[in-house]
Amino acid sequence: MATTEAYIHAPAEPVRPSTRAIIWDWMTTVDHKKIGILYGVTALFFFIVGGIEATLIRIQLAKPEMQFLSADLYNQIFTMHGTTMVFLVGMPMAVAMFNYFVPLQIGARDVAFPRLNALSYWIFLFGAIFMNVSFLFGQAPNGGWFGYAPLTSSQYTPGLNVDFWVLGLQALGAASIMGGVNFITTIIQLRAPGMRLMRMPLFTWMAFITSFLIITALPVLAVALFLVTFDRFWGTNFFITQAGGDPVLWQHLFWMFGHPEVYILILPAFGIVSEIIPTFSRKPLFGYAVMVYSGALIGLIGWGVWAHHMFATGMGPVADAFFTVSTLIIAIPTGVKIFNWIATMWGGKLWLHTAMKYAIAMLLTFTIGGVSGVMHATSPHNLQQTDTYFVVAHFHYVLIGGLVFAIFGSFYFWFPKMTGRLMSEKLGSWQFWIFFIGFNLTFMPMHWIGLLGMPRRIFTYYDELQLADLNMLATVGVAVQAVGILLLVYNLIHSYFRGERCGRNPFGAATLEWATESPPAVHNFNRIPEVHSREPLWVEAERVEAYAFGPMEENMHMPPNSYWPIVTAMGAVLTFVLFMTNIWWMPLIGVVWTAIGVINWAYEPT
Amino acid sequence: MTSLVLLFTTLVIAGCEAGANYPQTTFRTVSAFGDALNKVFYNTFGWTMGILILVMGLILYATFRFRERPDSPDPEQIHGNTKLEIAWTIAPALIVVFIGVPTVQTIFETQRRPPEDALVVEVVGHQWWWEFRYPEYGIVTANQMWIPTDRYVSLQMHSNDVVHSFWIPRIGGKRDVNPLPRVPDGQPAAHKNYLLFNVREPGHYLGQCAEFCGESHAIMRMTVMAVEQPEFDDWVSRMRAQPAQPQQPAPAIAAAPDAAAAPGAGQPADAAQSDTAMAQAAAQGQTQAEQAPAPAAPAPLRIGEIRPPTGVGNPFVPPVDDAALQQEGERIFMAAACVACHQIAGTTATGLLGPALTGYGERPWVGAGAAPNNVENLVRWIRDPQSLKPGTLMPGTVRGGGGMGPTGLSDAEVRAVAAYLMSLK
Repeated sequence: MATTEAYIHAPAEPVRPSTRAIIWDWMTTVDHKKIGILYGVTALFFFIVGGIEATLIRIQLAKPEMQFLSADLYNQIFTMHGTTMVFLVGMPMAVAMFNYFVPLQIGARDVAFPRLNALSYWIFLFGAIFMNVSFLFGQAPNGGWFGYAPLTSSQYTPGLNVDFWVLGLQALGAASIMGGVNFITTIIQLRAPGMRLMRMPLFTWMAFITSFLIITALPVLAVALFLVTFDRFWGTNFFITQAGGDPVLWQHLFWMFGHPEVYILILPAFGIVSEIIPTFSRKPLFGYAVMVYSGALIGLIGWGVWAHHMFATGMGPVADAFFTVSTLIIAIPTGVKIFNWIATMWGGKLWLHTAMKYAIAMLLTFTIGGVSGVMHATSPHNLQQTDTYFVVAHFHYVLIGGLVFAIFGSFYFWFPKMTGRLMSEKLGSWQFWIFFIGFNLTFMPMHWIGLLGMPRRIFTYYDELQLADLNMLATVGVAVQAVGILLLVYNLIHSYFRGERCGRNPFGAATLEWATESPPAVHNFNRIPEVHSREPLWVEAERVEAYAFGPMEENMHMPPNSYWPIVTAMGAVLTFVLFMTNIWWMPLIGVVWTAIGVINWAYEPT
Repeated sequence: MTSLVLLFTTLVIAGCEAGANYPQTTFRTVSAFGDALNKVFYNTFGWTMGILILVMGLILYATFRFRERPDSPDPEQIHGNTKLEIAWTIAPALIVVFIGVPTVQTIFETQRRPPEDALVVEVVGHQWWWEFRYPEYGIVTANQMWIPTDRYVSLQMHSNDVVHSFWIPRIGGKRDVNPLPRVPDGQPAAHKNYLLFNVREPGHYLGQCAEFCGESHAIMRMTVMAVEQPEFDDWVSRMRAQPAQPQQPAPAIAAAPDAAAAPGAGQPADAAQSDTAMAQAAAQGQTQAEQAPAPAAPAPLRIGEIRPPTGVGNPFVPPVDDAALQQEGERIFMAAACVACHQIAGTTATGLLGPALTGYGERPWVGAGAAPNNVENLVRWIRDPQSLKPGTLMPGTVRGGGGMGPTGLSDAEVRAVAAYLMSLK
């Protein structure tokens, strides 16, 4: 075990460690920055996997009655595309950014539970691998990312497909909940002196709200998944109609998780944009307090709208009316946020850096997605829209136009902090425009495809719908997007090795993460700065920097590396894997493994 | 103001689909139900487009106007403006009211209980086909729902397996078709989902399942034949009558099976010649056709084409009028495994697992939308349904399916069965 002293007083230019030592270090790290990078790289990898799945889907739909994929393979691929993009890309990408930047933004040395943080990552990684291994068996999940009962029961899907899905998701959910607990504790407990709640950067605020949504919504999914697991493995009848089970219960449970999940995905994007826009406008965020309250309000009301995914389910007019109104109300705080971002830009001095381009594009495309969201909210016409490509267009405008644009923007914004090098602006600009055009080319036609009568999740369609041209256009758009994403990956790799070196704060940003070296030292700040404002580096830079780069704090304690998180994660995921054997005592091996990991963890000195 | 919004949006949307005939469009609805939904949509569309244009304008203006220039001054550090923020909280709230009030009214209006004299059709979803039962007339049919125009139709829907969703876009919105939880004896049954509409224009409307329901979800399609009341009554009487027994060969209306007398039917000629029995059958048909050329039939209906049905015969493709072959087909059908699952009114076929085949000859599709209904496709379907529709439960002649072994019918027998089924109308 490396001791505290070994970290802090290590020589400035240590001997280059062996590859094995580097790998071991990454496997046992508890440093929030390294774990953040692990999350980010993994999520980017699965983004490409999900992107390949999307491409296969679009090739199959390029023309009517294509025979490129079989029906079953198509169903597996669209299921895994959705599951991957939500659970293996959207959430972990946000968690990557939380991990790296929340402790820096609030002036902490690490998260509150560093080893738990590592455990979250390893369970996430093993769960993700487990779920994708299903492709090797030819039995990837095929019930849709929403897994409606009773299609997921063993009567209608007897293979391993749904087993991979329920068990894999259970693992991923557990990892997310641990992460949520960690961030809430970190943000409540570890803020720098003077960093009141209402002085926290907006990104940290959104991480805070998102974490509350995670620890409340994911358990609902866990319960629902347990019920399916019991039905499939132990013959219970929660969703089996022949025995009096009610499949509509699944829909309520799933969307009770599923709608807050939407905000789990989009609030981090709001946070990122709220950092980028003020920085590149050289103006403080307009209406900070309202931005915080509206974010919290969205999270809160987000709990009362789940059944707007179920207007066609047949809940009756009273429930339809209630969920219509509650959903429409969410448009108000969201609209306020948009206006406040515009007001932040108003009268500013806009530096149209690629990060800023992505943020502005996010405002535009997210608004399009928001507007079609209001159209869905009107439940009478939702009966025409739901389960068509109009909905597909809507949520891709929200999740790519909202979340992915913000995430890409955050790459250009925070990459220099993470690596000490700037990303190429020239490549960045090209990459932005190609991706932006490809995105609109793919998803704009889908609004018409849907309203002209094409349902979702169909592996084929027929010429008589007369939608061949629009579908071909959407497929061409995917090719353009693919070029944009490859350019981004190239830019990341190229800039990591060749990028122009940058200082501590290349963009003149205001928040504490820029009061560290680029990349930050393992202990982040030499002394934890005291802050007296929301924009410490604009208002009180000298004082803050005197702390951050001044003399080292004495008796600083950093948590040592530990291999128990990865051991415990192996045991936990092994439990799920062994469940697949359908032999009752097999999962106990994983349970014992996990227990050994937890006990040793508990006795490990930190 | 509201009328301006409506006018604007109608124009925009009319422009979007000008000149094309989309058979599953949600825009050109043919019932008051569909119209009511669109009215709500146009209202919402108008308001939200207004906001979208405003927001986009502001963003683009701000981006270009405040873009950094060499002489740009350092911006004033403004933290907010309470009055402005209140204003842009209230404005969206008002728009929400303008959208919400008519929406809620329409919710209650479109979900009212059906009137007493509505035609009740029980819709049963199956993986992957639709069953339509008319309790009033004792008729059961599949994948093609006939309804009278200008009369309320009340759909009572449930599923036999997983969740499906009934959707005929030109009539109106969709509604899930749920499997109902079994309740203990004596308890009230679980409620069925319902849809209520009244179709104005006679026509042929396409729809399909809209809730993912398994492997061949994409091939769970249906058509609605909306006809005027007399024609509907005619259909009812045909469906209830004994199927026409082709006792007397009627050379006057005989048509060649492969020539199919159907421009655009597009049957590959070599498919028939691959098999001796079928070639013979074709030759036989040809001989008859030479003896008495068929009268000019109306051009077959293109699938998705909007034209009122004539009420007699398959509007999509003429049947094989070889009475001997049909009779032979009926005999084979009744003796083979077919009757285990299929029913045909007025015959000994009373199976309940598969789609009812009464009036099959009038349907546009084989296999709930897997392929256009013609002799070639029907033969292919009976031989190997899995090749047209992955996962279907129907067994083929060589390959089994749905837990049943293969039917073992020879190609000649398949041909005869196909001729028989096409004659049902």
